[in-house]
Amino acid sequence: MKPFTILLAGSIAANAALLALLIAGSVSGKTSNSVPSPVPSSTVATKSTSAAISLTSWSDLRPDDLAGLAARLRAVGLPSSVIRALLVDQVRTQFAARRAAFNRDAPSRRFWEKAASDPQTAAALARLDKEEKQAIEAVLGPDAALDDPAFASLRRQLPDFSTEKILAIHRIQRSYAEKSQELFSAGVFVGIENRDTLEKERNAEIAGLLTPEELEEFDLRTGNAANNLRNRLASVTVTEQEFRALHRLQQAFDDQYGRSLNMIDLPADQRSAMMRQRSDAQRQLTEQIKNTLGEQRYADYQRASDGSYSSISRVVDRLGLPPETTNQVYAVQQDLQQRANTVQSNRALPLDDRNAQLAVIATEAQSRVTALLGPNGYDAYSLNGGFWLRQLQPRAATPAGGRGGGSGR
Amino acid sequence: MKKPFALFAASLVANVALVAVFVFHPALAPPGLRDFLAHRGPADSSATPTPSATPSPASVPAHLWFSVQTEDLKTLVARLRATGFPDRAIRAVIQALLKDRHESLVDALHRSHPALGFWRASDPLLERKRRSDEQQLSAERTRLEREILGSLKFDDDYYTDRRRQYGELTTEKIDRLDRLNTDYNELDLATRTATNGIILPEDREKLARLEREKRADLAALLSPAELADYDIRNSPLVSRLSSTFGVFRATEEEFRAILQTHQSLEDALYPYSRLPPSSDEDRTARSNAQADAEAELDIRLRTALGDQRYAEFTRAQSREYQNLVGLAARTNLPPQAAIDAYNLRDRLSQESNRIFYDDALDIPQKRAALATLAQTTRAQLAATLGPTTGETYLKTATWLGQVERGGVVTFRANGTSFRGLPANPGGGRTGSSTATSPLTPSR
Repeated sequence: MKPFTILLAGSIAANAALLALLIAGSVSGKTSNSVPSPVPSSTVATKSTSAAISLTSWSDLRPDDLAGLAARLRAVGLPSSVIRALLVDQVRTQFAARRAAFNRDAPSRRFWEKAASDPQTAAALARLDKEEKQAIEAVLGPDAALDDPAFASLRRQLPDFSTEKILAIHRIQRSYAEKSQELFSAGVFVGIENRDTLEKERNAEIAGLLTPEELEEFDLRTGNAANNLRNRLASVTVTEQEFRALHRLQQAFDDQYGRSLNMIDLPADQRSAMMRQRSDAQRQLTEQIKNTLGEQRYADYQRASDGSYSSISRVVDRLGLPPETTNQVYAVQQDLQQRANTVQSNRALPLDDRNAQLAVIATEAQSRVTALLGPNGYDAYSLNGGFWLRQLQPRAATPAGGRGGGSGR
Repeated sequence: MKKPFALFAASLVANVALVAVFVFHPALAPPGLRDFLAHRGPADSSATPTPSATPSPASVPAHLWFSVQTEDLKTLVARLRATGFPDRAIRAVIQALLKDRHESLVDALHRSHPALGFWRASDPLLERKRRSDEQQLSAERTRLEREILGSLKFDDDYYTDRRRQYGELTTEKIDRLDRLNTDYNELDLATRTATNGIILPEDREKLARLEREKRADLAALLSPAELADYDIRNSPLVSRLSSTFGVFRATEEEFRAILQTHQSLEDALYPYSRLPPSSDEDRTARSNAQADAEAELDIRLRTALGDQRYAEFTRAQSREYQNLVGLAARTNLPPQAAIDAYNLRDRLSQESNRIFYDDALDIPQKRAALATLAQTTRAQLAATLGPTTGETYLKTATWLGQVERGGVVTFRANGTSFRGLPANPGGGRTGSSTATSPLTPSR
């Protein structure tokens, strides 16, 4: 082959290769962070605009001009997460100057006197914090949520929900968390009644956002009823369908008789009637659960519903003992508690005799539990779930002006 | 013959043109080639650009990010500096990239756990392993951040805040102290997480060893005077009493007297601040010691501050008083309004107890007197605080409702207790039902 032909062929081949690289480069996309962005941005684009915008340095970005900063940052091809971080940083820098005004007396202020400890200053700083938060939300738009760990957690819990739906749920949850915080900051006691009202409003707003099927999935994965049910069923094997059925039963009960029932403020007769109604509903729920699970599984469920059982389980797990040790310790506890209750309720027995019998049971408790958990395990158990052991201690007749317990400062 | 030569010439021109496109626009290249071209291209003529070597605008591509980006984050810091990014902005960029990396790793960690199905609780062992792995990822992220951003400076405000927290130290000592505290906090957290709330003797020993090692490192870093100052500033007592000092303006002499008095009884006053009790006997002993220490503290503080200032300090410790002061400040009421409202609350408590134990009154009379007392106090509070502030405050004053319904309220440092009159007026004994609830707002 002539050299000229070789050269010509080589040149053409090189052109073909370079064209292929050019095509590959445009197909691979414009974003090439050193790390992948896990969440596709819903509104912040990562494609750079045309080279008509001359932006080659930080000052070209005009960082103090917040109005168009997001667009300029996008124009230079920054990844969406970096854009958000820079926008937030710029807002905070602008507010830092205003916040610094409250620190002007810092040199004369003693180190134990925080700037926010003065009530007027605290109120002014709180207003500034709110303004800063609103400025950040304004500049980030819907993407403000993408950096919130609560959003990431929701995304993992709801893998089949769209990002838009998760963002909307997150927005509602955050809004109500802020309302609760505002009440707290205002010194309003965020008691059961206030919490329940806020929770109901929040749940209603979320429900309005979702279809009935989506709402059920949301409740099954994030709701309190579902979380509590999962824990009670930890040692019980159930199918998904059984869990869904049990959840419906529990949710219906909670909706009717949950924390919203603040009986303290009710007149005595209404309070009694409400308690009877609740008790009847609880019995009915228990029967329905038993029917769903059957006798054996219901026994396991009942055991797991006892808080002390899960405490024992944690101790056993921590000690690295076989899981069946939990059932053994629980059986010992049930046996000895029953015997101790019998002694304690026998008022015909003199106090000294009762104490003597309780002391025997206490010794037996220590011996049997130590045999199962070891000496360190006994101490750990008595502090974590074994509170009944304290009831086995001798009771003294209460002296006048008896010694009180600690105030728990 | 001419045609082949023309074809060859055209092909050569195309070769040069295509190479030039990649050299001057490396963004158009595939990822693997992009880095190489960006590093070697006219945008970066030196291996490590110095802050003063600002490339001329004409030689830097308009796509700023594509001219600086690299997988090597330390190099990225240098390049961003070269284009004029301030340290603060560089910090934001690197933290965002490390956060993205961290979240990818955490997502991968979650995916690597066997999918049990949403209807099943997590396996405790696997859950603990996952939490431990997540913590390690966080620690690694912190280490990387420190390594990559170590050369960057913080704003002056940062060091001003740090000096308030650590004492008058050099910036170098402050940076080293920050690293020391971060490292030991991570170790402490990892140890406590592994216990899952069940602390065994070996855990106590491990935590105690960490504390000793930290003290040794602090003593090696700081002079004795610096360490003493650091200890005062970072005393848990100062943090605990910060809300109190917000409404009780102590002189330096008063502050030191209060701090020293608390410190002398600290272990007994706050028995659960470090580790939970090791046994039931330990719990009982701590509880008894705490009660004794509280009584002793009151005596010593009264002696140190004098009766008037002691009374003001005690009032300042009340969360309800702190809330009243905050409420008054937010609504532009004079500070005396908060004091008057607080005094009304105390008088209600005293008077309700007096009525409750007054043998000259029968049950219906006591009930009527308590209801009148509550209504009068409600009106007085509204008058003292004004309609808007009064309404806000009265929503929190659930104890008023208790008294209105025939109850007695007693305010204590550890909470509020109630006693109720018996429902049956014919019963001679006063009620004995008590309920103790903390008055502090729940979170």
